[in-house]
Amino acid sequence: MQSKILTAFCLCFLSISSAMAADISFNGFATVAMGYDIEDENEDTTTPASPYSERTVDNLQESKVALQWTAQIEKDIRFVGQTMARGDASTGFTMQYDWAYFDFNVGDSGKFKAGRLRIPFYKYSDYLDVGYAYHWITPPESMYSLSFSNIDGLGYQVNFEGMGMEHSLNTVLGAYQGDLPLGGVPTASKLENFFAINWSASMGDHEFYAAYAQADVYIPAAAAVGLAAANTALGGDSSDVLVDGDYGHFFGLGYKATFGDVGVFAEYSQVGIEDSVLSDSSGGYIGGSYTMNDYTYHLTFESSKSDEKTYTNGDNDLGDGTSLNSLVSSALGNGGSTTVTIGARKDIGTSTAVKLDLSMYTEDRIQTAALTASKEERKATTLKFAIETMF
Amino acid sequence: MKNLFSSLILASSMIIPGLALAEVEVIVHPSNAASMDKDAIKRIFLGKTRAFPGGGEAVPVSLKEGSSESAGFTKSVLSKTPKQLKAYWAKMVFTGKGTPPRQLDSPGQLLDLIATNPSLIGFVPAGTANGSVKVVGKF
Repeated sequence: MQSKILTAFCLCFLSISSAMAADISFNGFATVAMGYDIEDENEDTTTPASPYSERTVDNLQESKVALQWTAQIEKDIRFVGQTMARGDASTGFTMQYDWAYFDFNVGDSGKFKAGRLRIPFYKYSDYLDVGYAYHWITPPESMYSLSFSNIDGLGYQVNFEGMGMEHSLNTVLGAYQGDLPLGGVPTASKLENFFAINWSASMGDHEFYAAYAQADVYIPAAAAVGLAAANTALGGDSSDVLVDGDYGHFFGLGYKATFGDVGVFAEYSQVGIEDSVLSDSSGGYIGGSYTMNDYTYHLTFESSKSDEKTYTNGDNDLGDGTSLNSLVSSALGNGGSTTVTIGARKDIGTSTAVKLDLSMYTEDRIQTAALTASKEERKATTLKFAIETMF
Repeated sequence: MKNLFSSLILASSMIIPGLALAEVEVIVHPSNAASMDKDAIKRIFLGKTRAFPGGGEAVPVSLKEGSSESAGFTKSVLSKTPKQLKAYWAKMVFTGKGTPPRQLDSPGQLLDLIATNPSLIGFVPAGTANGSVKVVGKF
């Protein structure tokens, strides 16, 4: 319903803007990516370690094409819309509106925005889909782990100078409505009173950022309802399990620097939802790159960790040989993983790049009951190739 | 050996003229009283501010990319390679944060435009500026 309203809003706006003969410009970008699963120790399970498991090299899951239009309505007012079609191995390309917002210039270097906005969680959040702007085919998943990236609401972004650095402050306020996973199962969910702030600063070739976000989280998943009933039976409170308006928080940090042809980069984040069954998680990466003419070679080490919740009396037998804590562990999982990615990028001209990434993924502990019976760890090695361009 | 190495570098720079970066003059309308250093010019051309130091709307205009003047300005004032600048504007455009400066084909067009608009700032090859504009920096 929300997307229909947004579509109608955009079409309505476009017809108005045509009538007004606003100054409209178009830009776009595209990625064609292919992956090959060299090794996946769990390709026979329902949760393969590599998303490319058992698939052929022609799948499209990380391919995308986007068109962005910017309409200058008045001197200080613009409308920006971005339509993106993402590849899907089974259904081809699926189109959606990623952004659609008005922005208003405020002062010499500020912008106020209203509409569907990108949440400034990470270093690359703002241009997550513009692969040309970074050296990997996809940013490290241990860090870029949240399954949503936009909210509907208001935003303010301003640049300023101070203490010998250039600063940028980006804040958004609003709500999200859409699918969020609980135990790997997407559930129609919502985030209310969502607030995020991102401060970034640069000094010469050094860039830093820190980000914080919070929201009231609602994920009415059937699995959580069942676990809440088990907790109630043990004398606990169902609200300690249910994700029913609980305080969710995100904290992130990052650093990037270049020293001539050598680059270094690192990011770290923590995510948690209090008084709920969801695990607290953290992740990050560190890496370096070397650029030689049109070629950039890079190496990244990433790590993620997920700590399951445990409950008072949660080890008691529920009468069927299971316990609440074991059920939580089975349904939601916990553990850690590491990934090492080596890759190369070649620039062709000034708007196209060809990339090759090899990722070696190792899961250190058991994530789900489906694997418990068979293995203590799982591994996957994936080779990916992409062509990225913008126009 | 050292002399041979130096000679090779000199010879290679002579047979690869594309490496030469032209010197540029940054120009504004004669009525513009703003005092500007390299950092202030850089902030305007990277879309980080929309005002001249001291006030007044600032709108940057550029020479077409690919010219040696454009490459020289990008390197000496913006401290970026053309490729880095392209990637920078990709980020700005696709995040809705800004659009790159309008590009003009020739220094003559740029001089004519700036001579008639107090909000504009641009750059031309060193020695090209005439009395219709004011030079605020040479890089």
